[in-house]
Amino acid sequence: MNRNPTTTITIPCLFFSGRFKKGAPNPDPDAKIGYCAAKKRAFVGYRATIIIGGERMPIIDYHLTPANRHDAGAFVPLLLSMEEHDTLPRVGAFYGDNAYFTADNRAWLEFFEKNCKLHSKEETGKAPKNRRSAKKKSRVRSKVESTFGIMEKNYNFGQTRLRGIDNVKIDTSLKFSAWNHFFLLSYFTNRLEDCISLRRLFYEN
Amino acid sequence: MIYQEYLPFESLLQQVEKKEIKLPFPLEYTIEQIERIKKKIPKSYDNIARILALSRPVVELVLFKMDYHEPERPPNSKGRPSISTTTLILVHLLSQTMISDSYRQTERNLNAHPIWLKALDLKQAPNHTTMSKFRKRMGIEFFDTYFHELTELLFEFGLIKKDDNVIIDSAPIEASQNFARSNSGIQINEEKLNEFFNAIDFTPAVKLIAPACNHGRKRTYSDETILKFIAFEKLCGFLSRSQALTHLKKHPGAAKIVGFSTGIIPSTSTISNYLKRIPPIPWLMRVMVDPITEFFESQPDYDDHDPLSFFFRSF
Repeated sequence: MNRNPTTTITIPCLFFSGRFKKGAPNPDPDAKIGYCAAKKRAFVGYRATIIIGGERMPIIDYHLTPANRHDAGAFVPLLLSMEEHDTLPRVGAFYGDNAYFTADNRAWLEFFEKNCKLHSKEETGKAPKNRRSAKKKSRVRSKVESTFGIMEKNYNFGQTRLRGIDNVKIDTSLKFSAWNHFFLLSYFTNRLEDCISLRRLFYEN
Repeated sequence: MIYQEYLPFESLLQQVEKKEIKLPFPLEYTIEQIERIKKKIPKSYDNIARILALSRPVVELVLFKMDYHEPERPPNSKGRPSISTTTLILVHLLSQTMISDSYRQTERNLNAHPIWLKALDLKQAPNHTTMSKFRKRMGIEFFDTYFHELTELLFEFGLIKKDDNVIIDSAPIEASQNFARSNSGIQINEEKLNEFFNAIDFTPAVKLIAPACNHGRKRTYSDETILKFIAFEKLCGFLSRSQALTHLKKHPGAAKIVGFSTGIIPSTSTISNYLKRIPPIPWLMRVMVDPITEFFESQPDYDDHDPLSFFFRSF
């Protein structure tokens, strides 16, 4: 199996980051420049990749990288993390955009005997070749965008006040834990229909 | 493991009472606790206070599953009793919501709502430094395990269906730093850079790379140059690889120090292609850790307490 070594093997490495830079060091030495294709702008920070359930949208797993890493690189660590936490055998097909549709990622999905429903390059763009399958996949996939949107409104997701990748990882982990926690609480209070709307859960009876 | 298919909570309770469903001990105990708390909740509680009160058994269940034990108070301790881990986790979860942007605001908000404090079993909101210290003390592994154990509960209560389709996507998180300022041209101390590359021998790391086969196109750049470039990128704190390459294009002196003596600077994709063909950088650089540490420790401006001095990272 041809693993992407830079993303899957994490041996601690010593680097004296920013030692030869003149002037004040960057406030957050781990934050890097990335490009957000949806917003069509560059930003400095991190990229959070999440896996959500297709039906009720709980967050199943997450991975945080500096923003200068490609989306595709987060796929294998996420699969391995899901395997480690024994969630991978319990989930079905994988949906995602064409950034994840790489030969390596597909090989890993095949290795774990998972159905690959990632958007292929033929199914992308204004005039996709396989219009029907593209539409079908888009309909399932659109849920994740609303998850991010709701998280931005309800959980201050998309920005961080902490510095350093370890602190940002804790912050992100807490945000996703809060999402799942209030999801579970909505079940215990018999209000599962409000599982993703924190505002309704908090302010409406 | 999924103990049951999805059932509305009331139906689940009824079936557990009738013993039609057998839940494992911690889950059954938790739902009993939740029901007990529901009956005891005062009418003065608002929605948030009610949710906070009901959250306690859930957090306790997750901590139980994590096999976490509250640290014992020393017998002769004279200080104020500490706030329990469960309460601090609840405060952290609340601080992640739209109710507050920061720990300070969480503290103010909690103190402004005595009902929330009562639901949290507190007389006074924890100080923002207490929250910050708690986060640092627990560390990333604790919160990561907490998240995964909580997700496991969703499976156990049937809230994630078996063989449910999953969706993957990513979103940006903006760092707490000014984009324009951090993206402005970086000035490099070329003297020190030169001193570093003269003092450090990269041969031990290069020896770990298998020699290239003679087939195909001849390589333009040596493995040593590529490793030196990676070290340069990290040591100078560039925000991206292309920023480092652009700097080298504009500063031939620096390019010469790094090893691009011909003045031809590779593109980002060339570097990526080289990196794909060699073992992982952290694995290669582990033999370089001691000489690099020695070099920086011997520097006159070395500061033992500078957090940037020792910078252990997975690459």
